[in-house]
Order: sequence, then C-alpha cells, then structure tokens
Amino acid sequence: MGRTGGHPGSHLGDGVTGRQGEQLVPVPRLVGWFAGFTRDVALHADELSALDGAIGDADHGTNLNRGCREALRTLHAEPPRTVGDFGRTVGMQLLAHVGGASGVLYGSFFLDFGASAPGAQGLTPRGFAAAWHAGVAAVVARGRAEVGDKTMLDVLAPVRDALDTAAWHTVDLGGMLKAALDAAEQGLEATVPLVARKGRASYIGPRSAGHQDPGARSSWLLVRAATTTLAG
Amino acid sequence: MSVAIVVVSHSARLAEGAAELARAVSTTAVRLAVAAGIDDPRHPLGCDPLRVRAAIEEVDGADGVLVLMDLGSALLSAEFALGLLAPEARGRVLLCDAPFVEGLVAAAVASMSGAGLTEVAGHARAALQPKREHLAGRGHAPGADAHAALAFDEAAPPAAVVTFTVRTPQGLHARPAAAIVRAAGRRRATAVLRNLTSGTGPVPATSLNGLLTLGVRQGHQVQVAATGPEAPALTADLRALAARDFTQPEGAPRDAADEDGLPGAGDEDGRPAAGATGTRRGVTAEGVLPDTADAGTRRDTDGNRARPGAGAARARRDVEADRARPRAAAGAAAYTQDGVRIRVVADVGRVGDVADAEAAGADGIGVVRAESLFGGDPVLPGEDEQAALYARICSALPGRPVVLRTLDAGGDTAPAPPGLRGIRLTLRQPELMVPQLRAALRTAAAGHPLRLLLPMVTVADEIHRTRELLRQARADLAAEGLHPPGHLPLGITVDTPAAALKAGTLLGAADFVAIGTDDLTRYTLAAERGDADVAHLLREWDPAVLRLIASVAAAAGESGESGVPVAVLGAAARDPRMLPLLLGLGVRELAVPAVDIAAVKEQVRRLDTGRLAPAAARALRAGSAEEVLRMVDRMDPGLAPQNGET
Repeated sequence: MGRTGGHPGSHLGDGVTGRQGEQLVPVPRLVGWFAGFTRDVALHADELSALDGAIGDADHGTNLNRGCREALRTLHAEPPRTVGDFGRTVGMQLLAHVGGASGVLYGSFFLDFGASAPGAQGLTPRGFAAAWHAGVAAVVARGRAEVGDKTMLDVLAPVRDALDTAAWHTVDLGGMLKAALDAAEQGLEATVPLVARKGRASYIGPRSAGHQDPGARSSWLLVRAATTTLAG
Repeated sequence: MSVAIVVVSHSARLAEGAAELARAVSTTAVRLAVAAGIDDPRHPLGCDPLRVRAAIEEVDGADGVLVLMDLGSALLSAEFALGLLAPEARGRVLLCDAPFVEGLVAAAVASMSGAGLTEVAGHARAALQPKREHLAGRGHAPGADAHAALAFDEAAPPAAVVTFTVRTPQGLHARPAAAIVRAAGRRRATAVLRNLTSGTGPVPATSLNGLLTLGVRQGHQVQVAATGPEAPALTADLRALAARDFTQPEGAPRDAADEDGLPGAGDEDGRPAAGATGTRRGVTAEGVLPDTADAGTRRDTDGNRARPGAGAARARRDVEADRARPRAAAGAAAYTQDGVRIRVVADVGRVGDVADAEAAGADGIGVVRAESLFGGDPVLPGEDEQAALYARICSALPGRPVVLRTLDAGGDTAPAPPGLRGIRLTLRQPELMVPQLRAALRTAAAGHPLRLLLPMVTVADEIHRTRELLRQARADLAAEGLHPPGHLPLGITVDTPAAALKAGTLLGAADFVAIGTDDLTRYTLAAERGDADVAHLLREWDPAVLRLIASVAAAAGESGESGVPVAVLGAAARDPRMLPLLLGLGVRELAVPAVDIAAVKEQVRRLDTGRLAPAAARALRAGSAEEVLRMVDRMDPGLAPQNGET
C-alpha cells in the first residue's frame, strides 16, 4: 500500500497519529472527497434550489455550486499538502464565493475541520471523526442552531455522533462512514416535518414543514461523497 | 476622528443606496465603507465575509466601527469577519442590531456630531421610533397587518392584560401558536403578546410568524395586552387556553395521526383514536403536519365532532403529493431534446436501494452488486438465499430489466490492483460463481427479465467459459426438474483499456456491454485515489478515457443487427459534466444510485445528442482534461447555475 499504509510521525497530535496498521486517508483523498461533493452538488443544484424555493430564497444550489467549483479549482491549482491546507483552502473559497449563510457555515466547517490536524498529511479514521467534530462545533458556534431547528446541523450532528460511536469499536473507515451515512439519512428525513427556527426558512415558520431542508440535503451529499471516495 | 460605519448587505445597490442616503444627511464626511454583493454578475446577491473584513479594515480607527447589516447571512458574514480581525481591532467593532436604513442614517448623523461608539449604536437602535410614532397616530385598522397591530399596541392603552406561564415542553411552538391565532380571530379585540422572560415582543396575537419569534420556551412568562370591545373575553380565552396547555377543550375528538406523530397513521375519516389523550401531543406531534391546516379544520368544526382530522388528513395528502411530484417526473422515460431515449437505471449496492429505485422511477436495475448486498462478504451465501433475494429484487420492479453482476470480490470495497479479480477469480474458482449462476437461472425461470454481467472481462475466452458453466448449470437444473430459459443474456463490463480496444471482438461473444468508468479511468491513467502524487490525474474526462469509451460505443454500434446499447456504470454516470460527453459519444444507458435518478433524467431532457456528437468528437482530440472541461461548459449551457430554460 505504500504511503497509504504507513503512519505519520508523532508530531501530528491527537487523533491523527496513525497506530500501527491503521488506515490513513491522505490529503489527496480529501480533495477527491470534495471533488465528489462538488460533482453531486452540481448534479443536484436545481433540486437544492427548488427545495430552498419551497422554504427560502431558492439559491442554495446555485450558491453552493458556485462556491464548490471555485474551491475545487483552487484545490487543483494549488494542491494542499496538509489537512490544514485542505480545510483552509476549501473554507476560505466557500466563504468568499457562496454568498449565503451556507457559505459561512460550510466555510467554518472546513476551516475548523482542517484546523483539527493542521500539520498532518492525512487523517486516521479517528482523526476524521475528530475533524468532523471540530467542523460541527464551528457550525454550532456560528449558526447558533440546535438539532431540530431544520438546518444542516440535523445531518452534520447525527453524523458526528455516529462517527464518534463507531470510532470506539472500529478503526475501519469504511464501516464508520457506513454508520455515518445511515445517521445522515435518518437526520435528513427527520427534517421533513420540522418547522424551521433558523435561517431564511424560519421567516416562513410553519410553512417550512413538509419539506426537506436544503442545507440538510447538501450536508447529506457531503456525507455520501465521503462514503464513496474516502474508504477503500 | 469619529466613529466609522460599515454597511453590510446582500445587494450592492441596496448598500450603495443606503449609504447615499446616509451621506446626504450628514454634512461632513463620515468614514463609511460598503461590503455588499458577491462576484457573480448573474447572481450578484450575497455576502462575502472577506469583503466585510476588508471594509472594516478600510475605515477602522481609534473611535471604533459600527457595522449595520441587512438580512440573514449578512449577520453571519459580519460575525465571521469579526473573527478574522486582529484581537485589538475586534474590540473596536460593534455589530449593531438597528434597522438597516433608519439605523444607518441615525448612526451617520450621530457619528458626525462626535458621539462615541456606544452612543452612536444607541441612536441607531432607536431610529425606528419616529416611524412607529408617526404611523401610530394614523389610526391604522387594527389587525390589518403585523406592523399595524404593533403600532396599535403602542398607541392605545390596553383594556385587558393577563400574564401566564407556558408549561408545554416545547414552549410556544407552532401548534400552540396556531391555537392562539385561532382564539384571537374569534373575538372582536386586538391583542399583542410579549415574552416577559426574554424581553421579546410585542407581536400581534394574530401573527403566527410573530408569535414564533417570541422564542417562548417552557417556563417562560407571556403577557397578553388586548384592546377592543371583547378585550376581556379574549384575554380570558387565552388564559384558559394556556391553562390547558393549548390543547382544545375537553371532550373534543382528536385523530390518531396527530397523536403518534407518524404521517400516514391517521384515518382519512378523522376517526378518533381509541383511548387517545391529548396531553402529550406537544412532545411528539410537532411538525408532523402544517399546523395551520389542522387549525383550519378545528375552526370549521368548532363544537362539531364530525371530521376533526379531515383537515389534517388532507394536509398530509398535500405534503405527500408535494414529495411525489419530482418522482412522477423521474418515473417518466427520459428523452433528449432530439427524441433519443436514455435509460436511467439504478445502481444497487444495498437491499434498501431496490425500494428506492422503484420509488425514484428507475427504468430498471442497471447493476446489482451482489457482494455488497450481502455485506461485502467476498463469498456469497448459498444458492437458495441468493435466489430468494434476486426474485425479490425483480418483483420490486415488475417487467423492468434487472442486471445482475457476477461476483466481483474485492472490486468494490477497495480499488483492486490489476490481477486476480472479477471474472478471472470466479473462473479460477467456479465454486464461487456456480451457485450464483444457478440462482440467476432459477430467478429467470420464474419469468423475471434477468441478465448477467461479467466484470473484468479482457478476453473472449472468459465469456465462452462462462457460457459453458451456464450451460452446465442449466442442464443440472433441468435434471432437477426446473425449466430455466434457454437464453440468459450475458454482458460484459469494460473496466480495462484492453477490453475497450477489443470491444468489437468481445461483443461478438457477449450480448450487451456496460463501461465501468471508475476502473477504466484508474487502469487507463495508471493512478489511484489514495496515491498523493498522482491522484490528480484521475479524471474520467481525460481524452484517453473518452477515446476508449468512444471505441466501445463504435464497436457496439456495429454489433448485432442494429447495434447494442452502451451503458455506463460508476461515478461518471452521475457527473453532470460527463453526461454531455457520454451522450455525445453514444452512451444510451446510465446506471446511478436511486437518489440521483431524477436529477440525471432532468439533465438528459435538456440535452440534444445531435449537437453533442460533434462536440464530443472534438473533445476526443482535446490536448488535456482541462480543455475538455472548458468544452463541456459550452456543450451544456444548463450546467452553468440556474440556466434552466430549455
């Protein structure tokens, strides 16, 4: 397996240092993850905007599509060397190019995702769970939403919990991501009947019930992209 | 120096206009900077936190910076920008919750007069007061709109006031709020509510949105102030409503669906659930349905037990219909603009995918990855268990073709190195494949339109040898008294450059073909996702990969009497930038996960193969993958965000 089977030096910090035999997701794989996410957002852009149109200002797909394309362009032009570089590049590009609240929230997610292991050249499964933890904490701090407010957090937070739980009894990233995808699907479905309390959808209050939250749906795409690009 | 001002808005024009107003009323120059809009000429509305930071830094000075924001994400962007500032600068910046235009003008005036940051912010916050007072004097019709009701409250002394504590676990969520709106509408009185605990409000009792903005949680104290002829009656009604936790009066019926919170559990006739009680509803029922629809029914049937749940049932049907709508479009066959049918079939790797595929309107199942259905175990379970599962899958999509891929151990779970995998492994160890062949034949014997797909074929002999195993299995089954069909269509996946280049030869032995773009890309470009140094080379739109796809399509076009349709599996089949290329190269079937079917069909419907073919031919000669991408952007104008006119 060459580099993918190796383990990084001990300077990389908690959750990152690969123990003997532990998988390591190298930074280019993280780029592949984001490329997969970008592809899925492009495919589903109209649908995300339509969902947003039902409860908000109909721009979630357009905005995210633009931001992801810019971020991916930058990732390809200046390939990141470390997890921190990856998170910083994606985060800053999303902040600058999405334009809506989702740009700030996803931007914060990736900035702190990367900052959880700034110097590392890859993430172990536990490191990935820890990075996700940091990203979700940033979204919580920034958006001040809670689970049940019908936001992207309704997917991101259950996934965090699923990754945490899975990380306790497995070091297999594929298994962890499978659990994460299940949690994401449940979280996404659970947003349908909810009444929005945060974000633009909250302006229409009860009318937001009966629709999937577009932010939760794009977050689900992010998790799905992870399952198809990171494991194996 | 003076306090500087930064204006943050989604709209550059709004911000400039507001800034223009502010400059007009302040006689000396106010240091004012604008951060508004984003760099996209077609969609200029949005906020960029980096611009906000730049604007703050542009005007930052010793006296501080007041930031005024318009809506929603402007606040998030400004908060984020604050976090990006140096700590000493951060302390001088104040994000102000004042009304945007009035606050800006007031702040500009206050800044000009030399006020400090706190004082300027105070003036900005108070800036709505003149408008309120002015309109309050006009005697707006009470209840005409939310703001009028607010004005009414400010102007006239309330005739009746009550205070109650909210005890429902979820606070004043949508359902209790709807009950309040309903009660308020019954009396000739106008009321406003305040959340005394949090200091929010007042809001009109008739505004659902307004009530929700009070942020009333369990234990909060709410004050109602009412005016009008029936003001005391209304406050009494609301106090009584609060006392019974916003449920309807004793003895009124309720329907089962409301109670258990499960959509679809309700009775269409609104029959009350046996033994149901209403006190826990706030815990589970929130948001099951639009509460307003529920509310409407209750008002209609006030004191009438006939159909209390009918409104809820109707609303539920509306919600279901809403969710079914995109599915209906997905269920229809996808034709390109020039009338070419593109079959969009499901890629099934989990048992649950089958139901999803049916619901998503799949034109069939393009690939069943048996080994992942059985949990990724490289050895499939016994023949009976397999046969039962295949029959179930086929029955889920009656009449639609189902393609079963033979065991591809290691091909899915990890990017397999070239070597002993797919058909190579199963021919080496037939005991791995024979039960699967027998299970497939038994399924086909029951009349299901099943087909078999062989992974990793590189030489025609592999197809011949599989046919021989199939012949043997068929003979064995016949000896056991079954009557499997004489012909089970046998296809191949093209995973290697070898198979692509020899597609003509291989198709002489096979009945259909699917291109496995993931493996084909890896093997063609000799790169792996996990290899840091070469992962960036892995692009399905690399001209080399495209040429191999074209080679397969050309061979398929010449196969048989009228050609063989070419299918594509893998990530490329759901990549919106690949679809124009694939269709242009002659691909006519796409196997994608169920959740992507609707979106893929949508894109197919706006494409025109007649126009794509010459463009795709040019892409084959492109000098680089990057050049191909630039060509793709011209092939499908719909790829650019929000250009949905087709």
